[in-house]
Amino acid sequence: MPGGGISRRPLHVIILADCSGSMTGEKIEALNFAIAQMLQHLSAWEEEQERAQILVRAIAFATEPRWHIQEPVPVVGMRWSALAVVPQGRTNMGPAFQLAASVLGQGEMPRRAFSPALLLITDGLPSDRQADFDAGLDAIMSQRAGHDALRMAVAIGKDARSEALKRFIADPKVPVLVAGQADQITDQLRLVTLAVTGAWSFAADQDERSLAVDDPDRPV
Amino acid sequence: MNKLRTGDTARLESSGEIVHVGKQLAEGGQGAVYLAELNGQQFALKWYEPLRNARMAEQFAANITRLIARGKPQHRAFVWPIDMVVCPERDGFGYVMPLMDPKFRSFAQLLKASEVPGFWTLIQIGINLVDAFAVLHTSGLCYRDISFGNVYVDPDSGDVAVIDNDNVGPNGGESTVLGTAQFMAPEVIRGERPPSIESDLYSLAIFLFFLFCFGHPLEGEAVEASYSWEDDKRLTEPEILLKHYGREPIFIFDPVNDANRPLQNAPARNWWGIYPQFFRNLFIRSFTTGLTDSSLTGRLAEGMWRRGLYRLRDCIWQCGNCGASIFHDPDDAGYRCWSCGTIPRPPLLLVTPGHALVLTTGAILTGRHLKWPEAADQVLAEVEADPRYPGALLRNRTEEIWTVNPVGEETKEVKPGHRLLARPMAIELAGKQAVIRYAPGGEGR
Repeated sequence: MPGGGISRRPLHVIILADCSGSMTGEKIEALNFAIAQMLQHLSAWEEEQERAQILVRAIAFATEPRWHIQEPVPVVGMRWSALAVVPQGRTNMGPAFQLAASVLGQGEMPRRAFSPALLLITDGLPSDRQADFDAGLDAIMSQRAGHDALRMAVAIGKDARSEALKRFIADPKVPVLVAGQADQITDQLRLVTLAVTGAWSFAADQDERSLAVDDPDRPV
Repeated sequence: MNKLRTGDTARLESSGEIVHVGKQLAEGGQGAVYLAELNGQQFALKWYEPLRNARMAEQFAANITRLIARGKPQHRAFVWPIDMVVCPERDGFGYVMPLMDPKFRSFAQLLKASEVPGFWTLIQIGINLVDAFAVLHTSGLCYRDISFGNVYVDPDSGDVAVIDNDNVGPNGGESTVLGTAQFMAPEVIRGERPPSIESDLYSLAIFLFFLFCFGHPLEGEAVEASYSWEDDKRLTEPEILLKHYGREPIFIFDPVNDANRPLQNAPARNWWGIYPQFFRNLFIRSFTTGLTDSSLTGRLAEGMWRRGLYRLRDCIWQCGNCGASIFHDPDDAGYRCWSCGTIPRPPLLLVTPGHALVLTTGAILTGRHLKWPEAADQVLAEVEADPRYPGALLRNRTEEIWTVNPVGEETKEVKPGHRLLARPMAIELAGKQAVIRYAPGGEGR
């Protein structure tokens, strides 16, 4: 028989995870677990459809950002290796954004790729200077793929809900997802899964805690 | 929190019987599916959290109630709602349905598998799908949302399970769902018409094209050229869909318009040429006339597909040189083996009025070949192989004796359960006259 294997379009998911000192203990453990769960759900979704192939990258940021996963990894069959906290690490988001932007350019993002998904997970306010934060955000937004990306933010603990996260999202219809405690991170990442797979869309008038499900297949 | 949880207790709406909610099996856009136990038996339970749009939610629940009252269509593929379910601690609603057999895989998994099922199985899947929808359509219902997510297949038997039947409704009825974009008919994408039986048939054609050619019939170079990250050229996903599936759809194998040929590495390129012209014509019609003509002229009804699929099955053959699975259509000879490029030796055919069955191991003669609508699937003869007896051996699966007149030999009889070495002959079976002969180009042995 001639070979199977229909061609699919890449859907890049880039995770930006806060590994600053304050994430020590319960928070980083819960985060690692929640990300592993989320990747499993994305993997299961991918197996049931034929259009998209999800590829995952991850940036761990504290005072400095670094690639936790630099080469895009297919989500199916992927194992998440745990993020570790950087002791006394700060929460500089600008440089993390710059790193993310470096893979969103026209030469980097394949032409046939779907708009990527950027997921920012943090438990605190950005510690960098406003100018650095802004420059990083600009680097993302000035790329078409960054501008069109589905940008989401999960805030761990109530300190993290901030204007900065809303500016990262830059879409009034998309709320910051709040995990008041570490054990709520998994639930919020479940919503992220639904958003990435197009099964769930945000709307302006919803309650953040009991978001209803919209018709996923109604065309815009 | 209205999300159903393992350990919750729900009740059947009709009888109040207790349903124990087990683990979550799946989650999708409209709801989540759980294992459920009722009276010691396992079922699946689909649960919807409250929808933002109350009217849409009511409509949806009312639709499911109607489906439950109506009962399952008479085809085993349908996984159908059995009863509505309520849960006192949670807002929202749900229903129980049969649990799908674990042998089933999603259709997407089938297409992505490194080993593809053989042609016999692919055809069986096609037949099962076509039959299931025929049952729906002849009752005036329409499915409205066929896509990979709704269809499961057993790669061994070709059995099919159709799930997510919550979107079924009467033809022309009000719909809360428009369908999955790549399967949507152009007139539906353009918003000119709601989903209907005709748009279902379009989706069915797309589905069958995926099944046999491993790609989307409208995705080729023209679509590829629309993908761009350049600011002035970027089209959003909805714009791409509207353009290439709604306003300017072009079949990748359009006989006249070559603007949207498949990409170099597209599997469809390899598969398309394998099929006989009569089968390809079904797709050509569906994706040329069928793009613009949404009447039953452009949209092939199930009967047309069924005839084509059974005829294709009758054509299954093997290349004598390399052993590859190929098709031999006696009306379309002169093709080359897709695998080794040689011209395959022609097979022996069992010819009845209107049919020509290629005699290859596993081929079956059924009531269909003898024009018995009431026993169309009854097997009358089956081709076997036996290393002790080279050649195609036809087993008499009827309860009557066959009378056969092989060329150059005296008349013989084949008792029920016995086998016949296929060679040129006149044969009388089940009261009908048939002939075994070589396909044109074949030589006597």
